[in-house]
Amino acid sequence: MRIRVLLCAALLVLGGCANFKAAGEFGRQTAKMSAVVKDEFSRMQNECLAQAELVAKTAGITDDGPFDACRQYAKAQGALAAATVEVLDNYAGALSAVADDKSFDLAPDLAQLGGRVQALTDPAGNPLVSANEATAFEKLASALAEVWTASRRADAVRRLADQAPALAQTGRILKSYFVEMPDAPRGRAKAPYTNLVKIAASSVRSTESMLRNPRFQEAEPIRTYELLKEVQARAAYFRARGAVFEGGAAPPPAAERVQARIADAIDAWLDALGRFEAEATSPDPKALFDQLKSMSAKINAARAALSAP
Amino acid sequence: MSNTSELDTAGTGDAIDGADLQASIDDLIALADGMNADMEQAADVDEVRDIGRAQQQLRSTAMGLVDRQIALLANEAKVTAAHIDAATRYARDVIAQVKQVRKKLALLGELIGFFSVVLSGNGAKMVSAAVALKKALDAGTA
Repeated sequence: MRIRVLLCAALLVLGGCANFKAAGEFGRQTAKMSAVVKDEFSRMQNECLAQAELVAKTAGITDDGPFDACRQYAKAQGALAAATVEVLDNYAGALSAVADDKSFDLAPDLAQLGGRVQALTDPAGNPLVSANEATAFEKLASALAEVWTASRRADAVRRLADQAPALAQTGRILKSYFVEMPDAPRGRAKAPYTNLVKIAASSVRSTESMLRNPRFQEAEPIRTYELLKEVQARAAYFRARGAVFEGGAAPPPAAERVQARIADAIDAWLDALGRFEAEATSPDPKALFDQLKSMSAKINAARAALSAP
Repeated sequence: MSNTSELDTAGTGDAIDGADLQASIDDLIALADGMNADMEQAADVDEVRDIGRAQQQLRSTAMGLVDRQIALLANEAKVTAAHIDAATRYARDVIAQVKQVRKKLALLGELIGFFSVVLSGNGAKMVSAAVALKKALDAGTA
């Protein structure tokens, strides 16, 4: 170990040692960004289902109608977004492990990810991803499975950095979920998240109106009061995502809404990814470190937006 | 919407994209929201619940259009997203003028029925459904 360290120090002087600190930091920031996105998906699904339950109870709906929107969404777009996050998580884990010289277990079904993503369809049976995008998933899954065959850590980092173009595609898929990207496949040209927020917020507004009806309040005063509190908390969640509620505070400006903050964090990550590809094994990647700081700030801003009341 | 004879004929592969139906999605949501004032003022719990159910159907219809690609039956009328959006907008404008809640609910039911035909992709049936919808809307305001 000591000989290896001395040799590395000598090589640093000659500019020959890779700087694993930058690679490790990029891996950690990637995991942070992925965690923000996962948390938002999870919360959105929970709010959607809780609101559906409330609608079913208060309107006396016995079929699955109110839940269909949440389930339809989770089955298609939600599944695609989840697959994208899965690949990012595994990439981040592998990169951090290589950089920190630790072990990491890839997801056991990662090899099938490309096929799973390709099989995802919209309600009419059309694929959610283009052929190019499906290929990007397959390439990433293969590269992650093979990275451990590299004989040197620097080679492993290089191999992971070389996946930047495919990784960038998955990042853009994720972004297209939150904000409009005209060059996304037809089913995602209008960010699916936008319509989900609009429809769910409309449901919340209706429930508020229902619970304010005097006949309703007379029938069950205590329960109505409790449900109104629940609905108002849900309204705050959707307000932070741009929904308008009568009598309430205005939503934040577009650039400060949760989806915009998440898109900013993904953009900052895409910029850092490009720099990482170029400087992954450089002994002094100063520009990369600067970009990682900027990326970290954007991810923190997205996290703060998610957590705001 | 035009008569069938004035529309082009759909070919194999022709479809209406959900991405082009955003105006209809927004109008359906607005129609649901438009019933909130009626809901707050409804005279009894049954009417509150009827309104709640109609709103849910409107939102489910809107959600059903998101990400949808409606394959048009070949050799039938080539109905476009613009046609559908125009029909929805007409319905929204008419229903906004109706005061009676039960009349509104009936007309909303006609609109929801129209969209279930739209999803079939059958151009001729869509045109018939649009004509029937307009008739109901125009009679509903009488």
